Amino acid sequence: MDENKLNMLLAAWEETYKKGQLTLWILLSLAEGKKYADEIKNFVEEKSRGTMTCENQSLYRVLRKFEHVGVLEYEPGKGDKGPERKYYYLTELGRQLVDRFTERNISLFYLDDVRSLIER
Amino acid sequence: MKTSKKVSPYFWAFVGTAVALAFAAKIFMTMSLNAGSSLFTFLTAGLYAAGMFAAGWYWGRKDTEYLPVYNVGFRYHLATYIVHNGAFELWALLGLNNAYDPPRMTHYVAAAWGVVLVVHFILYLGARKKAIDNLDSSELFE
Repeated sequence: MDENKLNMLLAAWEETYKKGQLTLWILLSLAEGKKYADEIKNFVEEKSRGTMTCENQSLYRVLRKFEHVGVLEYEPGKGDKGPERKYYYLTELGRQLVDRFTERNISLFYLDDVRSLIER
Repeated sequence: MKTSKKVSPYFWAFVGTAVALAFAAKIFMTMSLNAGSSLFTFLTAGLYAAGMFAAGWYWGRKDTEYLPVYNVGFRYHLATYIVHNGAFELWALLGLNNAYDPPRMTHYVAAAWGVVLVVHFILYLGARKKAIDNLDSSELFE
């Protein structure tokens, strides 16, 4: 088997597969609880086992977009040291969006017939 | 906290740039015409056009990176129309035009350009169905 070709195919597939994943990870982090930007970033990197990373610029852009459409809001809160931070949280719209998305697109991977294919 | 729907600071930076360019262009074009130099008149007009294009390109790109507003181009087109024609009409109103640049030419340009703007507005309305709260839905999730 051509290991190099396998790696190239895997990288190309993962690049396409990951499109849209950052949104899921960010919203999952907020589904866990209110967080400021660095906490969201750490959650994404830790929970994804390093397969997902987000630059500050990308993260703030995503948060800005979602705040604009009402998926999340923020409130000021105390930082560990220094100035106040913005603590982001899901709105009711955001919660329903995450719940419905995961129900329609993620939960099916836990169905017996699909899970048996993944775990073979 | 309520979702903010305000216009981005980059748009206002573009408007400021456009105002400065429009008045600078009008001042130098009038000076050129008064001096009888068609070369400098055309040069000024060319530099004005290039400057406006560059300003729209630069600030528009920054604006889209900040928030992916759908069809942000229409917003910039409308701003350019208002600023340009506002500045040129004001110049005419103050009686500062050169004889070779009568006020009616400013009116004709505003009217003709207005037709183009209306067409752009119709296209803008047509593209609206792809927007969610004014943002391009294809740019929302990444």
